[in-house]
Amino acid sequence: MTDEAGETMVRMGELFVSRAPGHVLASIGLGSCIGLALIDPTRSLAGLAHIMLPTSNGDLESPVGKFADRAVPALLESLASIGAMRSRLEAVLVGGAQMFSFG
Amino acid sequence: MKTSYSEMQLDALRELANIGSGTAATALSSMIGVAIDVSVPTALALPLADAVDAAGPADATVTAVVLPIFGDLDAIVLLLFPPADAETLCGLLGVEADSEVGLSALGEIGNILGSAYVGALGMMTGLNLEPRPPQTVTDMLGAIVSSVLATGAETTDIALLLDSDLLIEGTEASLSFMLVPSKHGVGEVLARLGLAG
Repeated sequence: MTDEAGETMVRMGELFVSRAPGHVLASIGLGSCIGLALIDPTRSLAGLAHIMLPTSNGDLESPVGKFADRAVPALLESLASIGAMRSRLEAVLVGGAQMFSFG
Repeated sequence: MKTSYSEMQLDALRELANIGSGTAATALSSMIGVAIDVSVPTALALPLADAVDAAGPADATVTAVVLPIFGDLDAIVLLLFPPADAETLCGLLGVEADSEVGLSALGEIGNILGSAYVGALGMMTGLNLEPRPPQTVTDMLGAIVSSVLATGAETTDIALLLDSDLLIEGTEASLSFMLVPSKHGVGEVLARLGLAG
């Protein structure tokens, strides 16, 4: 979390929230990963998660942003903690390419 | 879950990569009739996100040949060709890089290199390794590496990259060669070398 405007690279397995207008959250080269951005436009709040895999199967040691089943609640919670309201959130979901025909 | 490797283990893995890429270089050299130099490989055990960074600039376009390996060791062999180097290689083979034939030629180079690499690895460790048909993709480097890492990421937060460069003599062209073993696979290899734990 940060209040300073600028650009933050959200890398694989990471998630990040910001309340600074103009602060850019970015992920490059998602491939089969998912980029989930949640925005509360009325209060200039935004969060981005760079998610690798769907389910954690009870793995609580890995980074919280790695698995979708832990990353989505964590992102919602982080946004709520800086004042976002769930009913106002807009979501953008990108990535999830099938890069190879295996795995 | 074990999250790091000792210096001695990394050294052994580096040596494996060295022999593997040496064998692969010989195979490529006899295919294109040009001498190939092999760099000393690096062995890096890194958190997944750092491993993507270590592979190079995430937004660079590269052509990659991806060769999955099954058997006693699950791993992925990844060959990366920057666009200019893909062109040089295809030129040596007398085909257009930016064509179906060119991509197919790169896939075949990847197949021969990867199979030679895997064959050498299998001989040394006594592991039964079976390469599957290669796939060729052109995309952003970050997208390729993160997707490769994601296939084995369910069981580990640490990626092991064994990285060597092959330099084609008389040209500026090089290609980067990476072995990305699954967590379970690395343990198996180290056990065979008497370096488990």
